[in-house]
Amino acid sequence: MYRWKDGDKPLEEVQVDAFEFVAGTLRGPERAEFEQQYKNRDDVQKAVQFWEQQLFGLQKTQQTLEPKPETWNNITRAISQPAEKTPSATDNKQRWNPMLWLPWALTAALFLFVIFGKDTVNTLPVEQNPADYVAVLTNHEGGVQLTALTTNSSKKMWLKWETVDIADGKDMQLWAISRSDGQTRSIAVLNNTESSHLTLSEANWRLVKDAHELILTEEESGGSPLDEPSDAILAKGICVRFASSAQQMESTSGSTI
Amino acid sequence: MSFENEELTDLIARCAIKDQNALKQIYEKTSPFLNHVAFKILRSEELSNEVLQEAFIQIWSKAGEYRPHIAKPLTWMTSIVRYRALDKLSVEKKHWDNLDDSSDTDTLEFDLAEGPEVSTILQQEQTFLVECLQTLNDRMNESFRLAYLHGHSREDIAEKFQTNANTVKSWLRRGVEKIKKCIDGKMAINH
Repeated sequence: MYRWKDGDKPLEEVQVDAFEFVAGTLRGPERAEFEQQYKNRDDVQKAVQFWEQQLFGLQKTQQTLEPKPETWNNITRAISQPAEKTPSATDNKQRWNPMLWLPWALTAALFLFVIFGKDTVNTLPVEQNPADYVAVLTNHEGGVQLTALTTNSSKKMWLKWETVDIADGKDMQLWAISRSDGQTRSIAVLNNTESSHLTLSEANWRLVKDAHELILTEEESGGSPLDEPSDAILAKGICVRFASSAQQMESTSGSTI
Repeated sequence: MSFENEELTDLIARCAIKDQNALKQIYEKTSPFLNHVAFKILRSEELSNEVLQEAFIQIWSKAGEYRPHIAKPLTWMTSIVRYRALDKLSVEKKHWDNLDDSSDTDTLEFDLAEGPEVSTILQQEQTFLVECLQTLNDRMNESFRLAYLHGHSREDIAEKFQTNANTVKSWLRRGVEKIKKCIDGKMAINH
């Protein structure tokens, strides 16, 4: 029976197992166990990525096999299905489900990206890349509350606010949920919706780069005393990176498993 | 129109914002290549098309998770296709009887054709592995190719070489260690 020695597996063995995983010779329980390790260990993920890239060099360039015509039709039908469904009007959990609102929210992000481009980003030097990350933060009802754009070159986060209601004497706090470790960390405390941008520290820029999701919460004046988000979530949204700045990114995983 | 990594990356990004036309462009350019990748593993045109379908749905749904600094776009898509094909192989329990030669699937009477645009991409993707494989003996070299390109298990490879699966496992592991050192050495020189 295949057994991992958690934490003390030599690097050489990780490489060998990663190779066998990618090549496909690691099967059955061994494969399932390796997949668990893949989910939890950076070194395993890196080893898999290494062998995926290296072994790809074995693919022959000249050989192709035309797919059947119906294959594309089936794909089109499958990817169109979620849009045809009508979500329950009373199911708040479903409303938070990013699969339901992400498509149109991202479309809205693109639209806002254009608006931002005209209103703000064009004020940046021409050679600067306008946006690296976009997050569209929506409330329980799916309404856009805040769109956040970040630029690597300026280390700024541009904010486009919609109507956000907060109680008197309260502040808002923006948080990043890490893609790497799932931890939630504060980016900024905001006491109004007038701010059009935030200047990010190097640490906060790294948080944004690594963020899977941003959330906006209502907090006590001055921000969360516990340094963790309250239950009063005003909006949240998944971060989407623009491809043009891809080579500048440093973290996060690209799982194909 | 040339079809470069950067263009593929942009199309994947457009898929992340649910642009179906972008997925269609990716499909038109890469599906013949990716279908053949699946076919080599599954040896069935019907199954390879099923895998291609599943893979493109996954590409569509996971486009937002794609990280170009981690994997080149065609490598990422090929990995998705291969893992789906391996899953399918496991489910279908398709263990072919004839393991005569790895080139079997290369000469079957299917619509195998040149894919110049994909070829352009693949030329950019050449890795040190191909060079380093030459340092292995023929059996190890062939074992690597049979496993990765044709989805052969250790047992399949053992049958081909008339040995046992543990011996193949040993070949693969020794081969990996040797190749990793070789690749690391070449990378160090090139950096």
